[in-house]
Amino acid sequence: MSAFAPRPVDGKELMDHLEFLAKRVLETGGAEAERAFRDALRHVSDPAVLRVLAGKFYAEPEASVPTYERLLELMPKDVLTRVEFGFIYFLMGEDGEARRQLGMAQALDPEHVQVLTLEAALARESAEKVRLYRCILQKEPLNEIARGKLRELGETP
Amino acid sequence: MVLISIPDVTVSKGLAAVMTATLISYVGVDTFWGLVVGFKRLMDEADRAATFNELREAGERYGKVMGRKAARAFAMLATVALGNTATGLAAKVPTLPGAMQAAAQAETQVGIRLAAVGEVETVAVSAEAVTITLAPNAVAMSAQGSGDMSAPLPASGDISVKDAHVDVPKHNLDRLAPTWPEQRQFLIDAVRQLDGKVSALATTPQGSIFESTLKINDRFGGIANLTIRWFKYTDGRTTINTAFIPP
Repeated sequence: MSAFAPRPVDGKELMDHLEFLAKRVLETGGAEAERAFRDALRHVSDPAVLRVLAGKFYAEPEASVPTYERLLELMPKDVLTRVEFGFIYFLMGEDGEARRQLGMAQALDPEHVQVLTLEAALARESAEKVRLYRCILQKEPLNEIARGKLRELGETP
Repeated sequence: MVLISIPDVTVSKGLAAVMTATLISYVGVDTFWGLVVGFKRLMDEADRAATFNELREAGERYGKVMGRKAARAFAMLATVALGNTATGLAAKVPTLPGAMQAAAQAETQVGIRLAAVGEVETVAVSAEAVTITLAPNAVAMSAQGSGDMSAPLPASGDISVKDAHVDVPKHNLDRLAPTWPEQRQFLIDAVRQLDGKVSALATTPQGSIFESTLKINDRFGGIANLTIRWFKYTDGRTTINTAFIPP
């Protein structure tokens, strides 16, 4: 373990320590900081801790990607985690990797509303987006995402 | 010298601190932050470069980030600083071209008097702020007595930009403006205007994901489709994660 990854003793210390390491990754962008962060994540086996961490740094892929990777090591069949991970790549503009994550989420549950939401975000054609948002509304008639996007696409929800 | 002292070592002292504070006064906090981030990227890319071409391309990208105005300010300061001390440089700063405008910017953005830039002891750059520490008896424009002046980064409300992910040649953002700081500001202004007008593409417990494609007139007289993707945390902070114009 690197010098930046002393073993924390309780939940709060652990979270503070992980946040400290994540911020170091963001500030330095260095390989050593990244390695220390990944080392520390490997010692975390509580998904709840990782979820909080992932949430705090969701739009910071340097921190959120390794956190989600660790979460998915612990919970490979968690479809929501897989979709959230896919959306990080979507945010970064890495649609190819986002589609790969979508494929894995679809293998778990192709009709899950969140899976359809990611699929709609990645769809290239408006007609396909409309079809997917309508599909979501069949399952959840009050789904705000689908209703909002259909309105923007000139459709009546 | 400034390139070496500012971005790599996050705390500048002595002559480097005076130069850093003066440079921020001349180019503004936003542009300065673009230079810091750009320089870190230049170092990374130079480390990874396997050929002279890759090295040259990395340098050209940084030149683009810097822009003409910042490059002029930079060259002027470096020339004056050569062979000078912190006190000597500080004494010359008020006589330099553009010092009046720089003084106004220094007061509004970081709360220091440019004429008293010699009182700057250290300049620390972190992911969140530029912190300028003054000498114990120095008097700042906006705060009496000694202490630290912090200017948040970026100085654009609560909208930040993942520079390394957005500012890449394949995104064709040079169609918006010639330099990265200008492109960056364009994106920030666009997201600020779109805020509340675009529905979320997805929500997570931490916030919402947005995407918008705008039809814009590019600087070459053409029409371009600019796609921007951003994340808005539940506390209102916003991060622009990518933006691109398809070829």
